[in-house]
Amino acid sequence: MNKQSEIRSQVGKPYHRREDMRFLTGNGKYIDDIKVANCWHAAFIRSPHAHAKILSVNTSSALQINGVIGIYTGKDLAELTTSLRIAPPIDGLKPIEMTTLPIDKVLFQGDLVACVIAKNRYIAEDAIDLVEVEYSALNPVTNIMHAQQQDAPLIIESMGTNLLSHQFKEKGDVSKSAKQAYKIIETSFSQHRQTHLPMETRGCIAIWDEGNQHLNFYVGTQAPHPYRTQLANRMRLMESQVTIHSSDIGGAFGQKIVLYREELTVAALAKLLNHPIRWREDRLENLVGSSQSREDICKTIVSVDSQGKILGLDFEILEDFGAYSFYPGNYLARVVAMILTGPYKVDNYRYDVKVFLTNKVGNAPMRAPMAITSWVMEGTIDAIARELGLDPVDVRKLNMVTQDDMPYLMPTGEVLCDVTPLETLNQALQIVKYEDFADRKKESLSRGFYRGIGICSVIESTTYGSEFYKAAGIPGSGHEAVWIRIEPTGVVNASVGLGPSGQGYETAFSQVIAEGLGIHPNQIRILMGNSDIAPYGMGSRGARGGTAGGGAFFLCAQQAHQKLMRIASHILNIPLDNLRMVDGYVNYLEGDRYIPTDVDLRKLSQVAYFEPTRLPEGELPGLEFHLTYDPPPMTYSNSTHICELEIDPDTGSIKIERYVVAEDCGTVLNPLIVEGQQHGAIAMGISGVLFEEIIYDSTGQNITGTLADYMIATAGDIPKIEIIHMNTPNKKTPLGIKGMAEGGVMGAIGAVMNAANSALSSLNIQVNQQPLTPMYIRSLIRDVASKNNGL
Amino acid sequence: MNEKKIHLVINQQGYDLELEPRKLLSDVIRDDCFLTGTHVGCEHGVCGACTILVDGKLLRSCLVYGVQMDGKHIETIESIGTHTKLSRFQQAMHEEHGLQCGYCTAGIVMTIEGLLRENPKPTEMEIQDALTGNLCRCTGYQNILKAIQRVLLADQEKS
Amino acid sequence: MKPAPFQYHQPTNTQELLALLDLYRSNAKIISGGQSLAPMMNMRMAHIEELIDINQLSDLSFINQSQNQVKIGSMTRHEQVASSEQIDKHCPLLSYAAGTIGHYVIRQRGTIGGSLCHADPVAQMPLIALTLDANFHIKSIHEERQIRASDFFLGAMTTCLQENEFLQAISYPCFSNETAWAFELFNRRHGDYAIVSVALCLDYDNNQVIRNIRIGLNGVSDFAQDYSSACSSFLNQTFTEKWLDELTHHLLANFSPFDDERISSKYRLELAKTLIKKAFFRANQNYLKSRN
Repeated sequence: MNKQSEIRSQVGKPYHRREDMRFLTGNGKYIDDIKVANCWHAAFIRSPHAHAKILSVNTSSALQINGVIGIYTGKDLAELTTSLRIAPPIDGLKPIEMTTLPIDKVLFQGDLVACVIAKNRYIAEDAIDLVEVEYSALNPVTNIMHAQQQDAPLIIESMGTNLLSHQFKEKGDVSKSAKQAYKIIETSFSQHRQTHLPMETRGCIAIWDEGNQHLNFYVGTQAPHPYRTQLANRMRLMESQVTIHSSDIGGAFGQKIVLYREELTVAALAKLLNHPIRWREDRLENLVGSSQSREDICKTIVSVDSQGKILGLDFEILEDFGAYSFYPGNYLARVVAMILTGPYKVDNYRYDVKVFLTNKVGNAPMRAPMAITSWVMEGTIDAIARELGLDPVDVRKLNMVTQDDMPYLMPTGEVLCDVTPLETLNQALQIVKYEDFADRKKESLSRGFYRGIGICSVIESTTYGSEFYKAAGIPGSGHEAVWIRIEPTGVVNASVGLGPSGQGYETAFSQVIAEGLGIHPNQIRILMGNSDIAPYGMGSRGARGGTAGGGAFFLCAQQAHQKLMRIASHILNIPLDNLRMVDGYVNYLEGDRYIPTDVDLRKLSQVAYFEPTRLPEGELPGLEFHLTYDPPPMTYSNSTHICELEIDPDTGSIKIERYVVAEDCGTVLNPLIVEGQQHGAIAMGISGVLFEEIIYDSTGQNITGTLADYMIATAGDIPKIEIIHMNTPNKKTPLGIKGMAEGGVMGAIGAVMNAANSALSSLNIQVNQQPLTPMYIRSLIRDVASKNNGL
Repeated sequence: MNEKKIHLVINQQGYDLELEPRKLLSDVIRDDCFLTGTHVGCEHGVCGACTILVDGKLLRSCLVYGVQMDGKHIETIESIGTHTKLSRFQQAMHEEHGLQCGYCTAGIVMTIEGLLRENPKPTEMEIQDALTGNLCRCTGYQNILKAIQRVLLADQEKS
Repeated sequence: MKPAPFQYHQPTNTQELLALLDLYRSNAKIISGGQSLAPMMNMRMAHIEELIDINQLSDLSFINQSQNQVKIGSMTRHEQVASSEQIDKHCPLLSYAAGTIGHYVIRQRGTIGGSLCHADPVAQMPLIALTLDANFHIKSIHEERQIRASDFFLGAMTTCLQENEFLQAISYPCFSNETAWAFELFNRRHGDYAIVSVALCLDYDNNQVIRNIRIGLNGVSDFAQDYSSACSSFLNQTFTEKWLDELTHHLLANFSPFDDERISSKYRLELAKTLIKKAFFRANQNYLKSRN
């Protein structure tokens, strides 16, 4: 029996990242850093109208400019590519089709009209200025309320409605529970439109190899293989005619997963013109024309008994999906409904999910697409406490799933296990000194500030296994694929189908493989992003990298270790069960201690490659291993976020005074990296609640099209984040990994919103919409003051 | 054409260039001088990713035209440290995990290096005033601030 | 976002600059710090034919204090104004306000003259110039003239500069020992333009009576404005809370803020009220402290 000790040798160590060197010294290789001699540039003509028919595109003046190669419209691209049809077999989801570039009409301000190819970007933009497009403006739909109306303009005429997707489901009997209720409480939650804003915008390079009839496509993508499948399909190429090269990515957060229309256009034109073409999206385009997210309006109606115990929960979510379906319409909003109940016991639950098309840029999942979930559930809990005059902590504890309840079958069929919501809640309350809050509130008031405390429990769905997709009726697989190759000199090359964008996979995965093989991480090189080299994987999203990728690597490394030990056993003539690789050397068990031999990995490898006749009977030469791993249907991580803030009633401004989070993300591969992910997630959540806002005015113009208008948090806006780590391994995943990366967003949104509510409760004000701008807070205070003055 | 001949020095190396006046310095550095460590994030002076030093002063290279730099001495990220010898702040960033995707990192390193040269003992407010001009989407700024503190503490202990 | 093509000129002295302005007139545009102009050019919101780069004119960068004036060259960078010991001593409101412009890096490049000529309604420098009744030294190839701030600014993004003129320097009055001042602003994030800002100077006499008030605000009209004259009936009194309440109430009636998609005029007025009070308290407190 192989003694696998619980003390990890590599996993869990706070190694500094190996990625850092190239980034710190200016030697990263982002798409724009890749030199391509004699490359042409693409730029796009974008619609100034939110909704309009394209009548004509006059390119004659523009084509006169020296250095302009050509200008191509939707009709041209329709000859070179197929259109995209999104029609997964999901109840309530309408099929939707879109051409590569719009032909008949544009659907949002910034929508694509034509592509200019020129010798450089400067000239391309000069050409854009001279292209004359004739539009016939149509009435736009700029919000969900309008989209729902009978007489609203239709985004897609043939659909007959703007309701793209509608799902509803009931478990138990919500109406019955309402009749039995002591009180029924209705609360609304409205979250505004935001955008991912990676620091590196989108971009790509297409190089068509005419000799080999092969497309080399350079793009920063989180999912190289699914991307390749899409690209080849749309260009009517065989999948083996396309290679995706994805090197360093300057942030993605969900914006860089699927094939965008601009990228497909560049690829198609590079093949048509048989000339390399590159595209760099500028920041204005990124704000106006890439993808957006989060615009949800939710409502809960909860039935409770006199103690605050939840008898039944009714949930409605309306999502503004924009005009284009880059993803299936139900995909983002549905997850909210499915995991809404989070850490709470709810027997009777009903959800209704509606997704609408409007004249805005299309949605893409944005780090924690289910971000609104925790705020909604926790906000509902706080509402119960408010209505019944109970302590919000007591209401949480009364309804929370405990260790004894697990595995707990959530009303939507999800199984909750190996999570510790009560434990993280207690820990966070203790660290923040919850019991003394009243004193702090008094002290703040003495200085003229309203202080609030907000709690947010998060159950983060991190990794989706294939069973989950099947159960949810979403096509796709949740598995991940890896290979590990031990080279003759004893160093290791390894690869996985994920596309990293800052998560430190190179460092973390080398630790995982080192753990499984019994060597040092610096012997291991991780290759990612090249679709020819990496095995076909499902890509990096949600928080699946750790569990799916890490899990696969660990299992594969164990497999490799087993073969190595079989070889060692044969060579050393020591029973297999007594052998183990430690620090790169074969060790044998003597009593309860491992003693090193002088046989290192290199020696074993030399035998495997160059002296195969010395291998044991039935053992094949070489040391190359390949493995796919399908994680459990769902893996969860949990955390409790507590935020204390002060509101200045005169200006409405909010200052976060304290931010504490107790988190349990299972086994941690590298604590530095994990903490960094948590910082980033929480910062994004805080930034979203307080600053970010995409605004489309009543004519459908995006008036937040520069970084001066679309604000994100700066170093002065994020408080010190205190993290308490409490890690219970998942019993089903390799190494007990759970994954994390998005829970922070969910927790921050809920904690800050609930804290604002807490602060304003003494003024009898409830906040149920984001963002919490000073103007909004001030308007609430003003309204209450004028009511009190009898005005 | 409209091109102007200029001579500039980047990281102590001279470059003789013929440039269209409208070509942004950020593009000149990256495309004409092949120094891709300086990144472009917004081209309207807000994100700070393109920050460099010109004659010792910090500057957003997207807000200056290459032709304006005739005769100037420019320092970009490539001159601050190497794989084998990082600057103290770069080393601190590495040890504190102050970077993730790395795209904003060069701009932040240049900003802090520039600040510390002029003001070796910045107050918390002065640090914030400099750093709030650099946007980061990955780190939440926590570890970047820790890295700065680490350098300042080491300075304090030395003296 | 790449700018449209333009002709580039880099005069090495003032004569060359004046000749270029006289030649190209309305087609000419001066670039100094570029922190405001370059973004507009990159976004193709500003179309320039002849760009005149005055960064070589080092004689335009100076800070000279004499008698009762501090004269500042138009190419002086914001950071130099903010960190100048001379200005801190003689016109501290100006150096303090300059220190609130953007971030450290922006201030290394942006210039006081550039900011004044750009005349952005949310910028600090026009507000300070109006509040302090600064003198603008303007030059053209044939003429030199001096005009007051109130005549220099014609409205948002508009100054009285003729096609062939440039701003050479600006003179600010030196503060006396009996002058207390404050600068209060409110913005969303550090370094952002303020939604409303208040610039204030109070002249006291030996008996703590306030003899003169200079007060200007951004954000409650379509441009920075000097509201000093509205305070005339409140002069020659001592600082009390009641006096301040009445003065503030009176001032608010003079404001005409606008409504936009994100910020209501009501909000601006409330902010103005809060900041005016803050400014007065701070100035008064500083004055009392300096007396002890």
